[in-house]
Amino acid sequence: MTTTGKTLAATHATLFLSLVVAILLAMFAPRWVQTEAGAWVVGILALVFVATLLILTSIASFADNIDNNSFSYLLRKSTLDTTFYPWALAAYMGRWFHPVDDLQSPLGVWGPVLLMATTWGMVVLGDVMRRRGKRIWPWLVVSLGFIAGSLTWPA
Amino acid sequence: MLKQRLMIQIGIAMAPITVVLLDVLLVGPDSGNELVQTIRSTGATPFIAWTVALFMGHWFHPVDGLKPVVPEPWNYALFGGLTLLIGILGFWVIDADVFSDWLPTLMVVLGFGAGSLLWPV
Repeated sequence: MTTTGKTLAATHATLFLSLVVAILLAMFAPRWVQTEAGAWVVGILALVFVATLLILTSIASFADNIDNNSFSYLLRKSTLDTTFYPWALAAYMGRWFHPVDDLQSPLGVWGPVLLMATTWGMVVLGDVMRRRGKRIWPWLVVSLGFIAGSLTWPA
Repeated sequence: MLKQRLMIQIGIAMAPITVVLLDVLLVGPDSGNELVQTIRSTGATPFIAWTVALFMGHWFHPVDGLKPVVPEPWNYALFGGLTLLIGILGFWVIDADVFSDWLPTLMVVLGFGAGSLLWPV
């Protein structure tokens, strides 16, 4: 396996583990926030995670070599490297802006699990296609992500 | 290079967990709460859906190197004006009761189209 292949495999493994943790949190954390102490713990955790991601994004913004550097340019450029961001953002949009009020996922508790699985599958598929010189169009990723979010995780 | 890879790994590890943590905090243990109602079925709904989708179209439009169909600065005036109009109509003019189930999705489709055509990055 080449260095690039190893890096890609490590990225996929990291994403997989992260999605598993996210599923467990989605299942159990709503119970934790019913108590004040639990809500504090979840709140502080969320704050730390958001702050860290913002710092990492800021470092990335200043460290790249793109002209007219901005968050938007970085995000657009990222679609050449991964399907993660358009898919994840669109799935979250599907959660909120689906076409039916009080929509319940036909998959029940398996809905979020399927969403996490398809998220991982979409990222891996995008990476495999990219290594073959092909790319999944960002608008198609957005459309599929919106549908997936609507069906598996409607609010 | 190594640091950059490490940062990417950390970011990928944290992003899904962060989304779920924030969602749990905002939505809470019950569905149908105030936040869900605000985003889906109030006067704010068209504005929120349109604005979010406008940014999605801005970032994830179909063609690399796409230019706005309306030249600058008129494209800013056009999508800014449309956003203002949607905000005014949603918040002050149209009764939220008439908003239908599919309105958020419609605003997403229109917002994505507007973001792609008028404001591609």
